[in-house]
Amino acid sequence: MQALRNIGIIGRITMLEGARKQVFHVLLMVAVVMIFGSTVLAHFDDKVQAKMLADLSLASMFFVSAAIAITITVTGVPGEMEQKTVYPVLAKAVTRSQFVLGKFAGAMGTVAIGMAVMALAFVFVEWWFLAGHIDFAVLYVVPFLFLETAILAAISLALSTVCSWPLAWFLSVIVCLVGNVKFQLYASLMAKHPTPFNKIAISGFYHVLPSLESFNFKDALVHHLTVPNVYLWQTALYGLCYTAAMLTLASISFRRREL
Amino acid sequence: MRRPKFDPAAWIVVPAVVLTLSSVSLLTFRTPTHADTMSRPSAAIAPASPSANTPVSNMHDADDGDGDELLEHWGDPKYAKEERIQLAGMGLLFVGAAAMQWKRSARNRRNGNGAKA
Repeated sequence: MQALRNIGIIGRITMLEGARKQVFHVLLMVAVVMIFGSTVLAHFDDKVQAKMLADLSLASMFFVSAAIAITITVTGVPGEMEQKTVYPVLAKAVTRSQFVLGKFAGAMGTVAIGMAVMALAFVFVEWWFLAGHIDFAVLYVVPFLFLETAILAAISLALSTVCSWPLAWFLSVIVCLVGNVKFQLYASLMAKHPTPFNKIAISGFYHVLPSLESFNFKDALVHHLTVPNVYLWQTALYGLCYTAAMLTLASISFRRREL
Repeated sequence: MRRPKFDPAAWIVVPAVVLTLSSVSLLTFRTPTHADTMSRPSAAIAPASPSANTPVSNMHDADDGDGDELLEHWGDPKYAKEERIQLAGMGLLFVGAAAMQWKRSARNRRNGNGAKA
């Protein structure tokens, strides 16, 4: 119970700190502008316009949420160490794992605020430009975007405990991009008849990288296609497991770090 | 004498650069050949038009690279195997972390310092 309270306190402070950061405001503004800007691009007949609006808005929502999550988590732990604010916290009855989990929870809290603002902007744009017709089914994808962002945040946090924040940021962005085309990239690389060394390296990366493609079913929802319930549950479970695994790694790595 | 501080950044950057350079030759983009543009029998059978309540797996061509291959191929043994491998890896990680925590707690108990175990 004490552990949860510690995580909650650190999380709340991190969330407020993240929500006050200029980068958060700028990224959020970019997302809202992109969502409103998608109305300029989507100027076809009504049905196509609705689909394009939803598609572009959800894509902006994902990219900006991922950027917010990565930026906040990679600077969280190294920032506290640089400003030496981590020492008084860890000197109290707060374990390093609790500190890491608190930082993650806070970052995700900030992402949740951002996503809520973006979702509201999206609903407003749909209501305004499509004469009151709001496709609420599309919003189904938002919790899954949040889960996908949580995976990226957990990876960034794990990386930020072993290397400097610019490197962690760069690697996290690479993971985000490659994780979204993992299967296609793997098939394409393996079809080129790589050397045995390359084969091992490619397979290693393939198995370690998260399958972010599994969260990518916004196209199906936008086109009103059936997405099996079992698939949704399986994807959610996978997201939770991968996030937990990355947080475990981050905790182990931060626990072993010399402060 | 104090041991020099271990910096893992070099251990991450150097292999990443080596692997990138060794793999970059594989990333050559090719233009479609005549064989690619020929119609395939499967494409003629599969329904191509997206409409309401069309199962996702019937909508697209396989491996079209639009980022939702997993949904399109849901149930395919190739992807299910990858999922199982990842889950097994995560399971091992959790077991390893639990064992480490148990060892740490036991050591702290022995030393009479269980407050922050």
